[in-house]
Amino acid sequence: MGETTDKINYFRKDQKNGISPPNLTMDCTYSEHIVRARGKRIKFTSVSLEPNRIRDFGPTLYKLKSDEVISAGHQIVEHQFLLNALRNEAQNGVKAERVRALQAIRYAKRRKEGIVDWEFDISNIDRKKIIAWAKGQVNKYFSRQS
Amino acid sequence: MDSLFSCRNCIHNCSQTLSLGFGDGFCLKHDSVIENPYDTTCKYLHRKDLPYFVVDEGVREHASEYVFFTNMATLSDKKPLSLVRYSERHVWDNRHFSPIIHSLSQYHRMNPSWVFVQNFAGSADGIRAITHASLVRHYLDNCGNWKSSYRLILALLQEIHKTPYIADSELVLNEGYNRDEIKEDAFWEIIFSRLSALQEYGWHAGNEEITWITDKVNGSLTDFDWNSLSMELEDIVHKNIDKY
Repeated sequence: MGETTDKINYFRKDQKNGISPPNLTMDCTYSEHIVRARGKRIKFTSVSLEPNRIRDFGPTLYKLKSDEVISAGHQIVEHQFLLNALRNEAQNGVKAERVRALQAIRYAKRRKEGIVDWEFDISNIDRKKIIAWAKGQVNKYFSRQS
Repeated sequence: MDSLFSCRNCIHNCSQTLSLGFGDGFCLKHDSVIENPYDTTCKYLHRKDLPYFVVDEGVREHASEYVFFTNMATLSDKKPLSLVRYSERHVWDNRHFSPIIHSLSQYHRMNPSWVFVQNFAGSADGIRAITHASLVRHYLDNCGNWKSSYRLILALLQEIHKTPYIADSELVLNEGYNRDEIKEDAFWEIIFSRLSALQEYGWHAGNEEITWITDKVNGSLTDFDWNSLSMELEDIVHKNIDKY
């Protein structure tokens, strides 16, 4: 999803005890994720090109290990690719999807946001334990900076 | 903590947005001063940035998280908060008088309340513009039926294309963001809140055309080009106001 190079760094501020886990069972569009239309926890994790722009979730700064994310088969939706996808949705979508995409463009630009789209195999994971399981998994891909 | 779910982004706290309205807020739902609106929320949250019906799933999930709090609570760690009644004493103790909060604290004393709402119509000031759009939405949420808010919506329609003025002193400055970025955000927060008010009215009235008014404006909205958008909105309103 967009060119990923090791020159582009992504960050996220989150809790001291680690990255807030995604809900890997909750599928949604990029715009639904960015405006939180389907709730606070879905299958994506937001990251930012700047250390200070995503800080809603906690005070501790983490850096995404982009190379390891890509090597493990997950996808990084680069900031510019994300903006283009949202613009496309805002231009060609109708009704609710258009409305959500318009606001999502504003928020993604403001936060210089990219998205990690996790591709874990969850077929053998108990649904009730999936968030706790995801916490252990996604934290491997972030390094604590502060 | 997700600021989209904070009181700053709730229509019941009429005079603030995520980027606009420094200091305390005031909640019409709880009839209480909000001392830290960025870190306060409750189960009645009604988002300002988008029409209710396009984010209802997320808002319902949020409400379920706060359902067992009687009043407001902190967003960061879900601690209950006591209500703070607005009074001269509160102003004195805090050494800060806000005319808009003073005014909003009188809302429940006005009868009928639509008289109070219409007094905010037609102002170019950004704070009063967001307050007007939010009050209309609050009224729509609570009124008997959609017909009783018809005149209030007509007033909002007549100002939807007008440019709100935003004073630098009213901006909420955050570390890592420059003033121009925040000012632009504040501006679009007002515009989208006005559009959302119209769309929510369309939803109540069962009018598909107004509900999806965002489909009627062309590229100017996607490009965030206010000059073109304001002309398009003015044109739409003038051509269609009789139908509404």
